[in-house]
Amino acid sequence: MPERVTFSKQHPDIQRLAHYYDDVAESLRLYFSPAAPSFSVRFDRYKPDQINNEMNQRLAELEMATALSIFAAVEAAFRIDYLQRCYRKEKDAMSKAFRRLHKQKGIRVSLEDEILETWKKHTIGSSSMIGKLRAAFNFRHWLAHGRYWYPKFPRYDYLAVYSLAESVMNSLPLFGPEP
Amino acid sequence: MAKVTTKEFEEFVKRQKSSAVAEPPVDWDKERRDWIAHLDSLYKKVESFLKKYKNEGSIGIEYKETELFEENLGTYPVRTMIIQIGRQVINLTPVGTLLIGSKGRVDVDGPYGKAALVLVDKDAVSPRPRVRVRIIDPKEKVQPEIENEKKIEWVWKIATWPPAIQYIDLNTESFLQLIMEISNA
Repeated sequence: MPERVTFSKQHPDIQRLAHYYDDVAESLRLYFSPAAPSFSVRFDRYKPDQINNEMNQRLAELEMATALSIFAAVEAAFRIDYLQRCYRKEKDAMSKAFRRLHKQKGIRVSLEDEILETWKKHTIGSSSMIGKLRAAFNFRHWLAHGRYWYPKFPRYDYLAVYSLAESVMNSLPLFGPEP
Repeated sequence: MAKVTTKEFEEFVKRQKSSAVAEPPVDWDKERRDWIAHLDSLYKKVESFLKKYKNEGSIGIEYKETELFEENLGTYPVRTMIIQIGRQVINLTPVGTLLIGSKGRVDVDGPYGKAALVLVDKDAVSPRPRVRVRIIDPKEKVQPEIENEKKIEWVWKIATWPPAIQYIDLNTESFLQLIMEISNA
């Protein structure tokens, strides 16, 4: 019997990540504006275009880092649900399928090929959303593995990733960690 | 290259086949033509919002051609709209069809912020899927429950930023306010 996981309850919350993004983006915009106390020293001899370019680079980096954290939050939500359905011995067909998977593989299950595919197979109405999520995970892998190759998938960004994560997490009956 | 077993490949083929059977075929050429037509209508709308200022010569509008890549639509040319207000430049850049329940999106970048215009159903107020998700036994034969099966009327709206993404009607007043916000005016 695989060992039971103790939930840390430190998994990221997408709303908190959105507030973090807003605060940091706003701070960056202020830092790169003449209203910042350090502006004249920090950007001495900079041309306006150079300031703008540097700010946009920082904002783009923030977008990608936040998007990666949102993917981590989505992964945590699915993995917690998977384990809870195994521990709580829920009677529905999907929980039973997860328990069979858990018996074979414990926590070493693939999010995309096993957990998401089980959701797709055992739910009605989730197919398109899960398809979109799996496609978006190409972006997650690109971010997590160093962005060193030219991506052959559509452009994702913070807004697209957040909106997808929010739709998935609000639409699917996912179990959270116990109170 | 990672080694793939025959079983893994068979499962992959099965997955692709089942999703192809479950969904009706999409005419991607038509989708692309529609999307470009909607983009043109957005630009016309924005030009009409700014007509007075453009005629006075206080605002300049020009277009730049760029390319967009989307998985099913391929690579295709689109126009970016550039609005010049004094020394401030605002770009309207098409980014494709990535939001759930949306047919397309155009980012509006200003010197002090960013906003998004989305092509969504006239009645949509947030990016919520129209289908209810329910756990089933795969042996059951059930149809997805679509909340509202009415025909979609696509309109451009302003999407607010997360965490509470809301869609706001696009009109002269809301567009001018958006421009002010991203220009820190």
